[in-house]
Amino acid sequence: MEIKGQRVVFHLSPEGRDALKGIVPRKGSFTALVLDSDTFGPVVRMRKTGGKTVNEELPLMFLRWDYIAAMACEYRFAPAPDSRPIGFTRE
Amino acid sequence: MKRPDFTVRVSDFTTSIEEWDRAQRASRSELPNLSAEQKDVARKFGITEEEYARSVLAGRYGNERMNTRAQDLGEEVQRIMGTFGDGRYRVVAVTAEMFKGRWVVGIEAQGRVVNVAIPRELADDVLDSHTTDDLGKLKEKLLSALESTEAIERR
Repeated sequence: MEIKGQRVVFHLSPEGRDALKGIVPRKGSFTALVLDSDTFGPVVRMRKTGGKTVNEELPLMFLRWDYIAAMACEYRFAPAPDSRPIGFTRE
Repeated sequence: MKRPDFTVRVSDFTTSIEEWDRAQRASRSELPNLSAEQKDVARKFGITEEEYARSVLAGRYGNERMNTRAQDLGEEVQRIMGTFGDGRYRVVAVTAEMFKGRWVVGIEAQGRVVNVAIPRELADDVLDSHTTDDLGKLKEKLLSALESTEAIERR
């Protein structure tokens, strides 16, 4: 599953909460936008804190997968692309 | 915006950093109402409904952009297929499948619909950079998908 560009609610493990104390809310749950991810973890943008101007550097955060206990994201059902039936047809 | 003459389906979509930040800045009156299920997720995860609603709003911005991108991609594919000659191929649908990291373009060819998967990175390159290299890759992808389908039908 590709989560790049997805809005995710993260819940950190006790170890993650401890390691990121003061950086994430105390309960360990927060929403963030996933900008990229690899085998080590996602890079996220958390809630914006200041104004944004062109060329402004934006703080991003790398999370380790093993700091994350749960994630919630949303999926919206839509009709699947039309497809041809598989199998033999009578001519 | 002109309505495309093909179907656009956006089942799952992505959000850009600009849309995310815009939603964080939005006034409370702009925030969407949450469904019961969304409220439940916010409660269980221990975040405020406002925080969740800002995320939903960012998603709505993303959804609008994805609809436009779907239309742009469909038109680009149609334009490329026009170079294959005699209007044999027609885009009938563009579907965003971002959890799978791809777009699926439905192309009507000789009365049948062929679904061609276009990787998200390639579509992004085509729509954002518009370089001849990217357009060439997309053209190759379309040609290969259509040729392989016709080859199977000939057997």
